[in-house]
Amino acid sequence: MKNVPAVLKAMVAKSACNKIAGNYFPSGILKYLGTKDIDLEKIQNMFTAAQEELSKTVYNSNVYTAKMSIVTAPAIGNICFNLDATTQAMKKIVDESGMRANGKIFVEMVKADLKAE
Amino acid sequence: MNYDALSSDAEYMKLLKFRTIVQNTDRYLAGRANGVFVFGNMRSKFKSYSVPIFKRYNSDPLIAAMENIFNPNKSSMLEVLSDQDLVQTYLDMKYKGGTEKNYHVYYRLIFWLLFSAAINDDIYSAELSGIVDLAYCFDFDENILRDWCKVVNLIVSGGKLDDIKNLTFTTEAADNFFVHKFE
Repeated sequence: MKNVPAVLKAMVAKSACNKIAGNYFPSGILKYLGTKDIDLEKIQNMFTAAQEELSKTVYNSNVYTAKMSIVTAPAIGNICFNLDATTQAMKKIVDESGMRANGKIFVEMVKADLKAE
Repeated sequence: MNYDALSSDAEYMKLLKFRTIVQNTDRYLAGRANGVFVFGNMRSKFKSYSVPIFKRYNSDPLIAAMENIFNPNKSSMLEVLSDQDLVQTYLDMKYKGGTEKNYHVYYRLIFWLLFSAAINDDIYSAELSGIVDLAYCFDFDENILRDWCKVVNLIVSGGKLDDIKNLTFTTEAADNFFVHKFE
C-alpha cells in the first residue's frame, strides 16, 4: 500500500471529491508510474489500493467517503480512454500559443543584444 | 553556476541579463500579493518542485541560470510527480481553505515550467506532457493554461511586466495571479 504514489492517491481523492471519475489520471502520470501500455487490471488494483489507503486518511472525510464509490471499476475504462485526450488538449493550447516560436526569438535576442552592447 | 568559469565578459553579461529578467518576473509574480516577497515557508517547497527540469537540461546556459536561481535539489520530473508533498499539499490546502499566497506557489511553478519549455527545445519536446499533467493536477483547465501562455509569450516577446495588465485574461485565476486584482 505504501507504494501507491501520492499523486495517484491525490488524483483519486480529487476525482471523488469532484464527483467526476471519467476525466482524470493524465497520461503523463501513468507513464511515470510505469503503465504507459495501459494495463486495466493493474490500474484497477492501484485504484483499490489507493482507495483503501485514502479511506484511512483525512481531507474532508465526510465528502470524501460519500463520493468514494464513484471511483470504481466500471469507471476505469473511461478514465483510461480520456487520459491522453486531456493531456493532448492542453498540449495543443501550448502549441498554438506561439510560445515556443517566441521563445526561440527571445533566446536569440538575448544573445544579439549582448553583441550590440 | 560558477560565473568565474565563463568564457568571456559577454557571456557573463548575457547570463546576468537573463537572470535579471527571470528574477524581476518572479518578484512581480510573487512579490505583489501582499507587498512583499511571499514565499515565506513555502519557499523551500517551490524550489524543490520547480527545478528538476532545470537540472536535467542545464547544459543550456539559460536553463542553468534558472537552475541557479531556483536552487535545485531534485533530479527528474518523476521525482516531482511522485513527491509525497506536492499534490497532497495542494489538495490539503485546497480542501482546508488555502489563501491566495498559497496558490501562488503552484501558479508560479507552472509558469516557470512553461517558460523553460518556451526557451528550450529539449524541454518542450520531452517534458511538455508532464508539465501540462502537473498543471492539470493543480486544477488548470484549457482556459487557465491559455492565460498562462499569454504571459509567458509576453515575457519571451520582450514585453515589460507593466504590460501584463494590458493583457485580456479569460479566467479569474489569471486575473488574480497576474494582475493582482486581489490587492
